[in-house]
Amino acid sequence: MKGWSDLDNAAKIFPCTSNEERRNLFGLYFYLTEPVDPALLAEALENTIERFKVFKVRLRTGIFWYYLEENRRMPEVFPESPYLLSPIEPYANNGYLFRVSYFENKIGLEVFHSLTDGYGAMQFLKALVYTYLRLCGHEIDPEGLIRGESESVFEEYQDSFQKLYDAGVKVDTSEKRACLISGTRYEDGWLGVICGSVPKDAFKKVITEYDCSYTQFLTAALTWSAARVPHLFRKTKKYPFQVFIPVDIRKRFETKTLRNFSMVVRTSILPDPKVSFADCVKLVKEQITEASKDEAFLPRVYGNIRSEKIFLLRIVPLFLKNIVMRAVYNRLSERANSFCLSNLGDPGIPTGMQKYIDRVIFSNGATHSAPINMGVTYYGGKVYMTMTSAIMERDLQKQFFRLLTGLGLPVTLETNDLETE
Amino acid sequence: MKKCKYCDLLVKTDRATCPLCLNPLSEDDGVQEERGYPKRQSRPLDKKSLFYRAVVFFCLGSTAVSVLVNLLTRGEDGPFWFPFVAFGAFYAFMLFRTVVLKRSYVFRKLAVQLISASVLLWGVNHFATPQIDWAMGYAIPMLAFAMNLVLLILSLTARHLYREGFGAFFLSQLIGVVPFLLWMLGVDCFRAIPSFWAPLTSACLSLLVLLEAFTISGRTTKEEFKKRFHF
Ligand SMILES: [Zn+2]
Repeated sequence: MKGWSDLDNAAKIFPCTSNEERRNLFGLYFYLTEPVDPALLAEALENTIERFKVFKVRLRTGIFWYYLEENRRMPEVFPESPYLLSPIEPYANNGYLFRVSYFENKIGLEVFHSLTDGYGAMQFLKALVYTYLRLCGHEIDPEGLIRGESESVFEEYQDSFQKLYDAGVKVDTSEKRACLISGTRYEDGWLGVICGSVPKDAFKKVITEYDCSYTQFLTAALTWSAARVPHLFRKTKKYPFQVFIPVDIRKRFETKTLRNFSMVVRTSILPDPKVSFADCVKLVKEQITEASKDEAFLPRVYGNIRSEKIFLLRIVPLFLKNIVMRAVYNRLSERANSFCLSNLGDPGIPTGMQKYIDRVIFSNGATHSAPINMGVTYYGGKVYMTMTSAIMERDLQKQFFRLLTGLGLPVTLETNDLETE
Repeated sequence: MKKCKYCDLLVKTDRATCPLCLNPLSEDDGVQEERGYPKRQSRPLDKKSLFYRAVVFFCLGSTAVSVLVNLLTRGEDGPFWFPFVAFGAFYAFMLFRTVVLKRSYVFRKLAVQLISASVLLWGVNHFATPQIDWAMGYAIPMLAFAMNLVLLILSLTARHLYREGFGAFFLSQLIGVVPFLLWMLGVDCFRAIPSFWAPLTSACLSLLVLLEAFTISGRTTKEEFKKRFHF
């Protein structure tokens, strides 16, 4: 990096739309098999950040755009706050856009979305935990799965969206309104977590039966559950339940970038309790397959890139841009998502390292309009589905997990403190 | 591990009820589970923000009260003294905001101090001794001179401070030129500034500093300009 860089295309929207209720944060957590030593973790972080220079940055305000600048200070580690994904205060964190935390045998990484997406953050956290375990005296073969062990390549810094862009293609910027979940919010910005785990073989059997992928199955299950909790939608009941599914497209476009690089697939189904679960799966499968085709999602990605290329927009001062972007975002994008389902899949942890790691959890932050979201990871023969919620009503979660148990899947739940005293 | 027979699932918890359906859970199987999340505590009170609001209240309150008292008790041709309180309150607020509260870049703090102190000086001058323009003639240019000298030394010895506080650095130099410009233009509202020596000295220093920024530190300056103005 030449000392500074522009935000990537997807990252541009986050700084101006972030506030207490829409923090644009997500968290990844590794539970180790032994308690974490904070001093060693801090040392591991200092070593790892030198390799991941792309994250060794802070956000600054220019006249026309935000930009990322090399951060000369060192990141610190913090004891985990009970308040999951609480806002990252730039000055309290040496200007870093992420926060590394520890709690008993858990190492957490909470990241502001302008920095990277789930995939990028996972590479960083994997390397951090790897370095930490090595500092603890464990010899581990990286098996080519840890970025920290290879040299840093120029491509990691790239905004791959720009490479993808083709000015000739017609763009699509339309957004349809979705029904939105509303409920009683926790008072002090608390996020409730309900994490369900299911053995992967049992899960595999069920999805083979329905002939669909994990993501398709989960989307269908959520849509089916949403149809059974109409009281959560109040005024927006007449709109379809739209699940926002980020899809990592690094493999598809052969890039190693560590910055944001994913596209979005959205399913849109009217919540109807008369539709059976099998029909839900069929509908979701059709919609996801259709939306994943190049000709369906490229125009949407191009639409975002094009808007940042319009000359007149570029020369507008940043504070005016922020007002416009915030208004557009509030009116269009935010109303288009009922729920965000992000499936990170298998983090790809070296076999030698697995015996030190018990589980890997991904918490997707909640927003004002989508107060409940889900992050999914597969690890150690289990599928972990983590529902993060800013509201106290847990009917959607109940319907969802009861559907899974109803299909014969053994579910184990783990939660943080859900009740206010 | 406990079981909810209504939802037919296991729950790793010390709760008495199922987190989903709120029915009682079965007895614990006795296996000790570690906690996955820190225990909930009420969010620590944000002392800083509370203090901040208190300062805002104090500044606004003292200004409002002084306006009221001044206007009600002023005789036929009595003095208006509330502007002193208002300027003082403004300065106190800025001082608190930049120095105590906001963990900002050093140069930015200094520039804000320069601006708010200039406003204070100008205000006191204007209302207390309007006959002579000592603020624009001496006090502000001298203050700017001292500040810009400090900024120059800091920027040469600690490069990162210059990079961080680039905007504030330039703003401060511009302020250094203002009194001299006003003297040259003979702007009415500032009446004649008694002597041009102080404004001239300050302006000269600012110009030299700017010259330095574009020659000796030319590369850094160019790079910082590029960062901030790229579109
Ligand atoms: Zn239950």
